Amino acid sequence: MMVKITPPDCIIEHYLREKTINAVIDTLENIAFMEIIPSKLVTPYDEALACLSAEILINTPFSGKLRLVLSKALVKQLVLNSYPSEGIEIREGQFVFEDINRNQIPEDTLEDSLREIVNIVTGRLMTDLIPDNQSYEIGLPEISADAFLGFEGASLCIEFFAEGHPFWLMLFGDGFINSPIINPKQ
Amino acid sequence: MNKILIVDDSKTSRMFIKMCLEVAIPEIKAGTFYEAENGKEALALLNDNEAELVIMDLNMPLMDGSTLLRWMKDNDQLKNIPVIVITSTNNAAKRDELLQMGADHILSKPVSPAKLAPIVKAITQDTTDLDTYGA
Repeated sequence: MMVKITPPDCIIEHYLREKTINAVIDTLENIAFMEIIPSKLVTPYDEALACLSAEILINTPFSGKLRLVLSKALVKQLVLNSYPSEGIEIREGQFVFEDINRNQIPEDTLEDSLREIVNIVTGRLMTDLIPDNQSYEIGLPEISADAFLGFEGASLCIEFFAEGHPFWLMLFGDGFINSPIINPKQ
Repeated sequence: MNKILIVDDSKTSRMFIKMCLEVAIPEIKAGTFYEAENGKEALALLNDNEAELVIMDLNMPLMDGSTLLRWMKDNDQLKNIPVIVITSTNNAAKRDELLQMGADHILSKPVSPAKLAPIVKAITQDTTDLDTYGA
C-alpha cells in the first residue's frame, strides 16, 4: 500500500522540506556526482532490501535527530563514485580499491562512508536552517543497529532516488517544526 | 622532517584528503602524512613528532577538534603549527569561533582538491623538502 505524504500546508514544513532536499542533493551530487531526485511519495519499505541506516543527533539549539537509510548497493555505488579506481595504492594495508572487480568493499568502509554522508548532510541542513550568527551542535554519526525503515514519529520523511535506488531521510524532533529559531525566509 | 597530520575519525575522509593533496601537489609523496582518529591521538603524535601542518575535523570522539585546537594554541611547542579545519558545521558563528581560537583556515565538507590544495601548497611551499619515509 502506497503511503502518500501530502504536500504540507504549513509554510515552515514546506521550508524545511525544501532545505532538506537541497542539503541532500548538494551533498551527494558533490560527493558522488549522482543525480538525486526527490519524490513526493514514500513507497513501502522492502524488507528484502539490505539497507544501512545512519543517525545523528541535533543537540543545540534544539533536540532532534536525522536518519538516513540507504540500500547497501547504493552506499557501495556512492563510495565507488567518490574515489577513482585508478592509481589507488595500498598504504598500510588499509585500502581496498585496488581490487580489480571493485566488489569487495568492506562493510566498515560502507558504514564509515555513510557516517560521513549523514554528517555532511546534517551540517549543511543545520547551516541552512539556523541563522548565520547562531551556533549549533550536532552529535557523532552512528550506524543504527536496526536498518528497518521506521519513520513513525518523524517530523518529516522524504524519499529520494539515485540511479534508480530509493533512499530515505527522516527528521525527528519537534524542534525542526516548532523551534522559533528556524524562520522561513519569504 | 616535515609532516602533515590529518585528524579525522573517518578513515575514508582521511584517505580522501590524502588523495586530494597527493594528486594536486606533486611534492607530496607517500609518507608525508600521519593520521589520528581523534584529538587525543593527535596530541600524542604531535608530542612525539614534528608537524608542519595539521588538518583536522571538528566532530570526533574522545577529543573533538575544538578542544584539540585549544590545546595546541596553549602549548608553546605546538601553537605556531598552522591548522586547517575541515568541518560539516560551518556557519558564520562557528567560523568566527574557530578563527578566534586560532584556526588558520576553515573549509566545509565535502572538501575539494581545488579548495584544499592551494591552501596547503601556500603553507608548505616555503619548505621545499617534504621528507618522506616509509610508514
